[in-house]
Amino acid sequence: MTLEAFQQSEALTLGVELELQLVNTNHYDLTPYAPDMLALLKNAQVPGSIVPEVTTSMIEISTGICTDAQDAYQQLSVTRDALVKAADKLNIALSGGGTHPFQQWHQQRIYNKPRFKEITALYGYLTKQFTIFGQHVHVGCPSADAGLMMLHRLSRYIPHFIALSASSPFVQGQDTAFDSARLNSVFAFPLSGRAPFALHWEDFERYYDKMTATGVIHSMKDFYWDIRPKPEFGTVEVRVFDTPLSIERAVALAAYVQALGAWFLAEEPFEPSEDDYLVYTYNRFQACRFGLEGAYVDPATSESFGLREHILLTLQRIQSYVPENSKEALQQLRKTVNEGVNDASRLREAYAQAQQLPEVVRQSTLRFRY
Amino acid sequence: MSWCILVAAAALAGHMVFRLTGFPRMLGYTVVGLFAGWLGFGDLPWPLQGNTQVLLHTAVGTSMLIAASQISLKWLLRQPFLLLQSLVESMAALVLVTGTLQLLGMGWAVSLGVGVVAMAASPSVLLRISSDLRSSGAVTDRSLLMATLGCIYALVLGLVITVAWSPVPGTDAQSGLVLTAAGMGHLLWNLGLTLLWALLTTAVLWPVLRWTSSRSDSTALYMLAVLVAASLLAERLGGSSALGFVLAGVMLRNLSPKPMVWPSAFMAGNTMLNLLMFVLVASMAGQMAPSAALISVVAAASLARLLGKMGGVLLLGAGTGIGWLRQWPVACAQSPSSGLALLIASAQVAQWAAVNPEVAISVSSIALPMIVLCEVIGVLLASLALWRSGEAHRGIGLSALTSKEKRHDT
Repeated sequence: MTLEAFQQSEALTLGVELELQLVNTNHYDLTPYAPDMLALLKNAQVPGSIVPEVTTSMIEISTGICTDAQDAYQQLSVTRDALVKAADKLNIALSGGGTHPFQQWHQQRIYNKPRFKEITALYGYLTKQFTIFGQHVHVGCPSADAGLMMLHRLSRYIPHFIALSASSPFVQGQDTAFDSARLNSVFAFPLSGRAPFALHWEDFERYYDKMTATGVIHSMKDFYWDIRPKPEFGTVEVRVFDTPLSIERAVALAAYVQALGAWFLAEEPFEPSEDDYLVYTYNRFQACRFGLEGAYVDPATSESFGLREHILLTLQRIQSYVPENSKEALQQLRKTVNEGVNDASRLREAYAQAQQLPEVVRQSTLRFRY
Repeated sequence: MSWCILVAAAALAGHMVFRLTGFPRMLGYTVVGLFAGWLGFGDLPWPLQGNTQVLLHTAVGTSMLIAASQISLKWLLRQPFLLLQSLVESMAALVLVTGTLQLLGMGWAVSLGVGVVAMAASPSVLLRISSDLRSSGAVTDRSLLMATLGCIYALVLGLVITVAWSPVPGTDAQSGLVLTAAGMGHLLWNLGLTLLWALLTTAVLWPVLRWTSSRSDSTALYMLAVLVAASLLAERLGGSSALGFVLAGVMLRNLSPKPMVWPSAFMAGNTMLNLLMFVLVASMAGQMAPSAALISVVAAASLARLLGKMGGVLLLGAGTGIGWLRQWPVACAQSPSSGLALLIASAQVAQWAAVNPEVAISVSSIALPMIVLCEVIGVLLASLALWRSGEAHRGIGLSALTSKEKRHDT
């Protein structure tokens, strides 16, 4: 299958996808209600889409094309309200968070859809372990080459995205000591990690053709990269975010990507290079493990920063590129960075008080709901 | 010693049934219990008395507590159609069974007595099926909810007709029922005691279910001791411990939004108590001497019960949040009957035997085989329905059990 052409999209438009947890309201474990939720929501009037995910305790929502944070918030609010109404009817609840704190992966069931069955046939238990929940942010790019340039520039900020969205400290009932343990599950897939260093679409097409010729991949969907181009939308898709606990946080993260993109397009502040990736995995690990308290090595200067410090510096730098309707969202983001609080720390605090993970999940469902 | 052999045989038979057919283990327990009853093994008293009664009350009580603790009143108030649906299916079973027995020439006391027994579905059976078949989802949850609500109606009505009403004194099996002033007093006394057992159970279980770990074995022992104590108190002083446990479960679930953590050892204890319960139910029924006339009456009553329960669920399926096609498995899951029905029947027989022994004998001879027949057919129907709905983890049969059972690529 050849790579489809990179479609035109309006530069810096946004699209947000959220993978959400469906939980039982008695014991707050994951519950396989996706088919019933989707049946109830079949005719719901929502701006984007609501679709199944790989296991039956997950559901994915997405916005349509958004212009800014406020637009994304309005769209996600409508969808969230429709979801909550349907969940109330079924006596279940929805929650954000990159992992469910105590679900057992082997109890999950694959959603009955050919693609999910194929993935399971190939990856075995990894598919059920993929019951993890991420946020994807699409940002519109004016051309294919601009998209690849955007992709590699954004790669330097992957640790920011991870630390800011981190909401998966608990896995299988244990505190992992990671702020984002979700990405460890993604790493198990052979086609995960970073995209190949190609700055021109022809080069990327050549890479893609070679890969399809090997039979290893059949479409762009087979790549589980941290950031990947999405030619049919004309966007670049950032995929490292844990699903935050609230849609406000999800919108703020999308606004951050958009503002970075605006800065890149307006100033072209640096030229990406293959050497950027020398410290990529280290920086990524630091963000996953320590969240906002992690270290960050600048790939250009090899200078070491605290991640919080580097995020605040970046927020300062891109301030003039933040659209009016996104300013409040980024202000909130800056506030939480100043306080050193992300969703992982909120979850740990909830556990410290309740001492029971089901109660932590219940509090997460309330945070998503309101 | 006879009980040790019985329990060991039931455990082995349950395991074999599960391994060879994929159906839940309780089918094996029931078969062993039936044989034991026919052979007079175990020498169990009927109506239930003493330790046997306390054992069954505790076994049923643990399941009822677990099932009732999943009833969210807030949700039911938002979805009153569900309450209506459960009420209709229970009343339909009562009316159809009572009507059928009337048509077959039974008296009002016998017809209504068996009708109330027929109202009870079986949360215990559904909890075991969902555990054995690893079933979860909307159909499983709805099925358990409907069964638990049906049991509440049956327990309340059972208490009313057992305590406040009684057959006309004498030896006429065609007798009707009469309400007495003393009976009304007894009813109020029993309802008051039931509420007291519910409040006590709630008060002593509240802290452990909210603040202990699921791995705490001592918590499980504490909980079992509480349930046995409540059953003993109810046996000595009056009131319904089963209804008390249901109310306690509802209170525990709804008095605080904070989720409860059930100790895993308590769930294991519930499994063992359930084994005893299924054996006990079948053993009791096995004691009845079968005859062609009795078999046809029991078959007619069981069919009427099945029609009432399934018809009630399907009739009001629309508007409850899941599609009409998903109501079929919910309807099938209302067909099992078990320990709770036995408790209701035993209470009736114990109360009525002194007033009109013929009525008590007739109720026993119809209700006991009906309970076992509905248990066996109900388990088969509910298992197949949950499997067909896609909520039970594996299919039925040896091949389904052995092929890739432990593999995660399907």
